[in-house]
Amino acid sequence: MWPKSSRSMVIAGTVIIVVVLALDAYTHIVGLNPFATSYQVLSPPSFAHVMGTDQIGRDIFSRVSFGTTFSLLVAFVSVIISVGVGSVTGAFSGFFGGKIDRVTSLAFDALYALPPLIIAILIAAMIGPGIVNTGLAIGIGYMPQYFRVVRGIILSIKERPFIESTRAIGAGYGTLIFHHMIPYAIPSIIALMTLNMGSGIVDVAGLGFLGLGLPPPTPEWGTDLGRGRDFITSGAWWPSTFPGLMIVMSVLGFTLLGQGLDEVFRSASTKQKEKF
Amino acid sequence: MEDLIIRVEQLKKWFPARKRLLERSAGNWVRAVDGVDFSIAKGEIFGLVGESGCGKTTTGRLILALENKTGGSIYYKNQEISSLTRNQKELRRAMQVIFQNPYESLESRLSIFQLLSEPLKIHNLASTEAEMHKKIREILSEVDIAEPEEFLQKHPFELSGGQLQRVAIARALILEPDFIFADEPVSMLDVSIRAGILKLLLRLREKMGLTYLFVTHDLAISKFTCNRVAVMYLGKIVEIGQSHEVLGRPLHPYSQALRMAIPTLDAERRTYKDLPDVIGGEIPNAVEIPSGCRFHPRCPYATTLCKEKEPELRELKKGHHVACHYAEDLQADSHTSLIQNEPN
Amino acid sequence: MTESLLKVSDLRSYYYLPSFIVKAIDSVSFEIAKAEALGIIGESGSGKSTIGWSVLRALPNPGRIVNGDIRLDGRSLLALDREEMRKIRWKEIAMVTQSAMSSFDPLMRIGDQIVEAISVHEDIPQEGAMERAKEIFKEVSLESSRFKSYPHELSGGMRQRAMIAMALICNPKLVIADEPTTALDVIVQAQILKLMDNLKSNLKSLSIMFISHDLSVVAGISDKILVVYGGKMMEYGTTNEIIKNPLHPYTIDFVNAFPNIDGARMSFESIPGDPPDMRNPPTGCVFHPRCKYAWTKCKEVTPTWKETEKGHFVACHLHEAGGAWEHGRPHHTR
Repeated sequence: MWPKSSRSMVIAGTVIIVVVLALDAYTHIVGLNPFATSYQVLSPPSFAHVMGTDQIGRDIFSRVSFGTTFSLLVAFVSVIISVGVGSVTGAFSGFFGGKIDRVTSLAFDALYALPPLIIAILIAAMIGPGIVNTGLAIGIGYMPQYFRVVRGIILSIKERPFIESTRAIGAGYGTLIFHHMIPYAIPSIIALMTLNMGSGIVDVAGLGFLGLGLPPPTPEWGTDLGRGRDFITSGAWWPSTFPGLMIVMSVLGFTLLGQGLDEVFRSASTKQKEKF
Repeated sequence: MEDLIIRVEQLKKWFPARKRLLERSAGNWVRAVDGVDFSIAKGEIFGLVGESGCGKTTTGRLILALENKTGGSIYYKNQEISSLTRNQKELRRAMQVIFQNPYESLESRLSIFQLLSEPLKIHNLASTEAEMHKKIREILSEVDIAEPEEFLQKHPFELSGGQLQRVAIARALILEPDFIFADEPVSMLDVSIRAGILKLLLRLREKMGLTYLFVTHDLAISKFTCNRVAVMYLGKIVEIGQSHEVLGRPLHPYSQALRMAIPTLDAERRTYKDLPDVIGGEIPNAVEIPSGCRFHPRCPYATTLCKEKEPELRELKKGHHVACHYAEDLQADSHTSLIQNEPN
Repeated sequence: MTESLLKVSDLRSYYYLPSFIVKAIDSVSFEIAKAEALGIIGESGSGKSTIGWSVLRALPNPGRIVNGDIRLDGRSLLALDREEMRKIRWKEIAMVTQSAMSSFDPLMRIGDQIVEAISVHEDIPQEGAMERAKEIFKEVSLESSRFKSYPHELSGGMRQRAMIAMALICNPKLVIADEPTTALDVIVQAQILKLMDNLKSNLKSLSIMFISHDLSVVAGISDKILVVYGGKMMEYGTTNEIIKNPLHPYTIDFVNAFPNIDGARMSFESIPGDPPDMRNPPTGCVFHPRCKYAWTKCKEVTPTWKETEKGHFVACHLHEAGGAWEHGRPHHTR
């Protein structure tokens, strides 16, 4: 069915994501408290605190697993925003063409030239932190990708005879775009969304690291990792390392899943073409 | 007075032409349709015949508002179709199209049921699911599809060419239109099933009171199917009249050449070997249209007059118009007529 | 007695697809004599093109010649190794297809391509090749000015002429033409058919295998016709016999499916049903689902290939013992 390599990617990715989410769920179920301070300041990993404690005695494991919610949520918000705006504008721009298309493409091309993190930093600095705010700041940088992909697909489908025949039976522009064109873009969009979850998580962490993320005492991987830097030289490696590991794991999970899905969709569409 | 469904006056469609990759368009135009007039009466099957590039398909597309015209007017039931009205749903419902290749004109992602229910949904013609099923089943049996139930969940690529074209016809008819533009509806189908589809179209005309514009390059098929026919060359009509007249006893040298060129099963009537060499085979570029009569470079009878002045369509016999300066002379002299007149 | 040039016996070519085997031709046997034109007539799924590709041993990938013997001038083509077969192709058997664009290098001028082909296949120096190329251009009525044109600069008709020119450079014994005029406009088609006719009379020893679905085109150029359907032979005879006196129900119906533009009243008929699904062809006689005269035997037993009249062969139970063929017409036995 699916080629072996893609299958393993999809499975591996899914497994990792499930593990990450499970850790998060565990925290909530068991009732760990990421805000509880204690006198065991900067104690190394032990049975009581699997990942050690931070500079004000909070359990790092609780913070790290709690932080999953925020990171994933903000990354998700950013993906939703970029997909929503990017795809729809890409579809309309490609469909109608002409001057509007040229101007819009130019705008998104300019946006595409800047790394999403830089854009996120600029916007986050302007509008301040918050789940939606940070999500928006990150999301804007990724809009061009969806714009391009969807516009490209729309352009290629626009000229196909079945589109014309659907126009002939009286379908309006909305029906044409949403029922007959965008469905062909969905596989690519999904793969891109999954990959961008990974990038989004890194960006959230990046903003947090720079101090532009959610304010303390909110547990957040990037913020905690950044705060932990100060203690590495004194030998406390665990406040930075564990959040860092979580970032790597979750990004790996999403990237594997996204890449695997992309390959699966690609091979499915070539198989379809061969059939007919 | 006949009830005219479609009337077309001086219809023009010019496409911008690009000379070479780097040169700008520089006002060069491909004159795909260059001043075409005709009308189609209710219940008539009107044929446009010609070779590739003559403008027959573009003419149909202009009438169906699938392209924007460059000039001229189109009237549907005596109302002008302008760019404002052309997208109105009612017009779309009343005027439908059947394309040449059903595998391309029907979206392969959708099931037959979805393909047939969409028009009903767009025009709100079925208020309940049950009603939709009923209409779909009815239209499928109209097009002679025996067991509609089996078909509904299938996809286009699972059907044969003939079956799929029937589905395409059903889709055009489910809206109960007045007018249908059939663009080479049987050219991609196997020879052994063409007659069935054409007879179906004729039957449907009777039953549903349809009017057709039938575009094809195949003269025999248009003689069988159409009441009246217009022969097109390089964007203009060169001959128009009753199909058995125009195709049986063509008057214009180009129509005659077309007629002669058709290979026949009957060895005695095999005339293609007698085509004069000057007729050549190649159709000139629609960007560089010959002066005067467009056919003059290939015409065995061309004179200086033909090179200088473009002939108008003139009525030679009742209802039979030809655009040729020498049509009367050619008709009278049976020796110069390229083909033998066929017995009546 | 005319000498036989090509003799095909019990040829079977199958396509091995991932989920099923398509028996594109399942036992086809025929002969083409020297200076003879054989028309092979068929519709979708008939296997007609597969016959041409098989003779050239150039079946596209999942296809394989599974059985049979193909002899050119007595020599078995299937016994040759790849190098020897490569020499046969073009020198002795050439092919002309529907689309010339796929046969020519788009980046090279037509004239150069022909000259190159000549020098590769025949051992003649450059000037000799040039001469020969110009000769052939004349033979196919291509203006010498076209020598310097690129393929995309030529019109459809000119490209077909160029392709015919390519096919003739080595004076092949057999030219296989697979739907050579199908993509052309009517008048251009007539010119190309006229050309092929002239070539046939001028090149005395040339044999042609003309494959098409268009009986009227095939009838104009062929001496004999072979009718194929669903990978099997239905009927074979002279062109006149096949058209005036068809013996197989498919042939009868097929002839009637061509609209006749002559005559005041036009009638033409369809054959009910659809061409066979070659992944799962009908049992017994492959035409039986669409045959007006089919009875139980037709569903169960494959008819044998018989010479019913001199030089006229049919595979149909109506013509066998117990079949009901009288006075040139079939009638029902039930």
